[in-house]
Amino acid sequence: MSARAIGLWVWAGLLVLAALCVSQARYAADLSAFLPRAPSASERLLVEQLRNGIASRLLIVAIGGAEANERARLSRALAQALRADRRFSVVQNGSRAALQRDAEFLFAHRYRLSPAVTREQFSVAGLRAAIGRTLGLLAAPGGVLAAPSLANDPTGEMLALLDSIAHTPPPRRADGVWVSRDGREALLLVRTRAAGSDTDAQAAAIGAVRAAFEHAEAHLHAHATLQMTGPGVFAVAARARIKREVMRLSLLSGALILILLAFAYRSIAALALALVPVASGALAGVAAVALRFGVVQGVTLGFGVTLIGEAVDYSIYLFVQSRTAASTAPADWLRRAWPTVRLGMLTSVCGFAALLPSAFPGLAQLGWYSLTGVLAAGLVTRFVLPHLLPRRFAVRDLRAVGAAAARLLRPSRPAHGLLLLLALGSALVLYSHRETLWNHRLSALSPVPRAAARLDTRLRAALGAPDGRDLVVISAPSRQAALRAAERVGTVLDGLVARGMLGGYQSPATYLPSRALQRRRAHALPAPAVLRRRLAAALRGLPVSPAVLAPFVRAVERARQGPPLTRAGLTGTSFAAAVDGLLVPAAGGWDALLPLRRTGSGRIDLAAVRAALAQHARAHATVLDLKRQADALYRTYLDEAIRLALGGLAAIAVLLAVALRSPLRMLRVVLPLALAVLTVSAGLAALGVALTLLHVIGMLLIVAVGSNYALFFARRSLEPALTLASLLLANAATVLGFGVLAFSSVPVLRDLGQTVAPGAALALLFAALLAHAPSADAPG
Amino acid sequence: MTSGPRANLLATLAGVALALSGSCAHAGTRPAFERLMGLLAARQRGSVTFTARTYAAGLTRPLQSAGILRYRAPDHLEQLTREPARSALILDGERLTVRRDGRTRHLNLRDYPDIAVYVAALRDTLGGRGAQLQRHFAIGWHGTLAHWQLTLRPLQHRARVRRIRLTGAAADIHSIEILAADGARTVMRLGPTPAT
Repeated sequence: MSARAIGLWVWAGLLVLAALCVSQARYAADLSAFLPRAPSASERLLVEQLRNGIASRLLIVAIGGAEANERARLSRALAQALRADRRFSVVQNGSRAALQRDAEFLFAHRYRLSPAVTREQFSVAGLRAAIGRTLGLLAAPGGVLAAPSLANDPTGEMLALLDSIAHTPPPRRADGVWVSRDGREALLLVRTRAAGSDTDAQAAAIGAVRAAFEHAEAHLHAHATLQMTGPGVFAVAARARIKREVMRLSLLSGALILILLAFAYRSIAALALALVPVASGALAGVAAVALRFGVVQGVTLGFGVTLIGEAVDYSIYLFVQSRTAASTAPADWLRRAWPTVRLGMLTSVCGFAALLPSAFPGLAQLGWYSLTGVLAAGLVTRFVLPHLLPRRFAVRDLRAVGAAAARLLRPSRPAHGLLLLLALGSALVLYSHRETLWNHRLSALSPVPRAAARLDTRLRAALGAPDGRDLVVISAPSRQAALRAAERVGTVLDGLVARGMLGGYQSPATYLPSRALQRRRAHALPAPAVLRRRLAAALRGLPVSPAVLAPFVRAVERARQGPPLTRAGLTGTSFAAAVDGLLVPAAGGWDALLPLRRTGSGRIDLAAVRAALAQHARAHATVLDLKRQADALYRTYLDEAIRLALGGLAAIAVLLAVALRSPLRMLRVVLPLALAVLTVSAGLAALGVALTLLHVIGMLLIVAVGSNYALFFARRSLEPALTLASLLLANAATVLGFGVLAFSSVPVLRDLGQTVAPGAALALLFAALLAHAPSADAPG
Repeated sequence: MTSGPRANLLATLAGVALALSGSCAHAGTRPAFERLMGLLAARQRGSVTFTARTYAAGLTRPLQSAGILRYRAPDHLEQLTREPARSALILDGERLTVRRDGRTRHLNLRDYPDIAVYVAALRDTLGGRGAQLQRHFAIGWHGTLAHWQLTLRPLQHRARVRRIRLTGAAADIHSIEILAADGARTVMRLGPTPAT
């Protein structure tokens, strides 16, 4: 078997294997590609909250468009349907029946739940004071409508309990259901059982809400609009959008590059052959990602569009530059040009390899995909493609194009002067924008459109749903320990609320006190005989006859002797879901979550909360500001990306220094690339674009891709016009590939595209203008 | 001049006529209700003292309270109780503020239907908003503009209020009685000098 045949067989075999991997791979298209893997414990807690916490499971449903009573009926029908659906753990629409159930539960367990149940409260003086307050309430006009019942609750325990719970102002209600602030939408609050990061389950849940709504509409002969918001909605929309965009962008850039090549080659065979390294590279890349990561991120495929632009270059160099003498040309090209292409390929590999250690799975995948893809495309161009070329294969002669371009791009003193001015100007722009150069918010990478974010903010505010931003997380070895710790932390937080430093907070222990606290409260209740005696003394001089209070004595005795309240006892109330959301199993035990609510004005002083907790609460509690800490985490990853990019640049520099063996030639390669990066960053800054992590990566790619061009200029060419023509064509293909990304609505793709597309074009331009000698040997 | 039986007959007839006019709210007396509303609506602000007695099951004697009621058009109402304990009930549009035991609570009227019925009835009567009253209550009218009795029964079934009854002469309201579904009852007497 000839070497040629072996090469072809190995290639075909590898292709089949790669195709197998690609077909077996799992594809994810959610946001997790840009949720960093978190190294430290508190960062893990943070990412866990962002991905799977209660806030991630919330769906807010808004029904608008119809008459108010129609909306209310739809809300009730929808709530009823969703409550019967196992996929939802909470469905609330503010219905009176649900409020009634909650109120009945609270009333039934008031002596176990109320923080006011103490020994003092049930002493003679305490009873007298409490009953006196109730009488005062009853005496004021309207009191007969609001005061507690003398017979059942003379001490006003229910009011005390409600006061301790009602930290958040309730949503507006109309026609018996929750409505938005302007009253034009009926609102439902739904929580999914599945975590927010489980995009498939979220999609199913959203589909179920939609189907139930349409069913209710048909059933009630009503026509209304349905809007939903929540992390799950965002994730599902983002996935759909990434899928759609990846398809659209791949097709678009592929088509554009094909048109470009068809125009340049005027040969179907050449066109088909040009795709061989591209397809091989893409297949190898996806297979490599699947093998290494297990899951292929949709965004990676989106970035893969860029690979088309890069991988197609190699065949362009081969086809265009080997135009000279048909039969021996490929072999000739391999000897003369392949070393340059190989060096260019290796610089690209260096650049992509720098992304591998990234903490963002998306970036690491991009690096690995591009690295293997470029390598595969290069090797196929070197070892397979020449053997596939038919005899007398030739593409259109592009020498004239190259010569024309060479005349335009001739290095000259004025051109060099202009470049110097450009460098100085760019540096000046960057310096003047130094304060606003970087976007430090994680949301910069979020594909959630602004309109959707606004809807989210509005509906959350209307429902008084905590934005889940500030949170105390308590880790404990058991459920009861977590509840006890939550109670200790709650006592400290109560103090902060009283001092006006905190608007309020939620705690699982509010609805499910620890057994220890329930026991303490039960012990604070006197036995019936004792209570009767104390009541007789307490009522002296008050206009209440002790006999009336018999139901009260019985209720106290029930609470004193009864079994402790358990999670099962909460079933059927909205508190069950609250407890399930706030008391969650975690690695090594249970976590209690206490979302904090700010006061009417401004932010929570988390440092003060931390200090108070550290001083008073003996609990393993962490205070998180999800948004700020997510941003802080992102900032560390931005720094990491900058470090990685610098590392990549250093690796490329070392590679070039070794390969070119001349500081001057190396400078000639590096200078145009540095200038391109400088100009592009200045351009973005001048346009008011705050740079994100992806811009940094884009700059690395400018160097990795642009080095190919610079290397050709740094070396003497026998056919400078043909070389320049091939570079122009390759460059056009790259610019098209990345340029299409620049119009994506997915920020990560857009940022990369808007950096690399102009950067690659400028790299070629600058490399030509800085070439070491005027191309005097160019014909024409 | 007239004999006894005849006088009795006349009195009876007059009584029947009065009773008819009193019960027949939709005929001749409707304009009186509208006129009362008109008179009340013309008042931009007012302030009266109140004394109240509350009767409820389990009480050996009625509870007494006293304070001030203030109204300012169009929808501001304050009920400041001075005795036996200080408390305030302030209604501003849909916002209800309750102050007692040194705590202030801001509530949305819609969320407290029981207390809302009472304060809204008071506010809408003082503001002369007849249409608003008719939307939430079945209205009973008795007497004349010079000496009237207005009975408001909530249209909503499960209200904790059974009835609110106001009496007055022209634009002066003399008394307000609140009867709860459980039989508890508060009678308020209004005026610069409390009547008995």
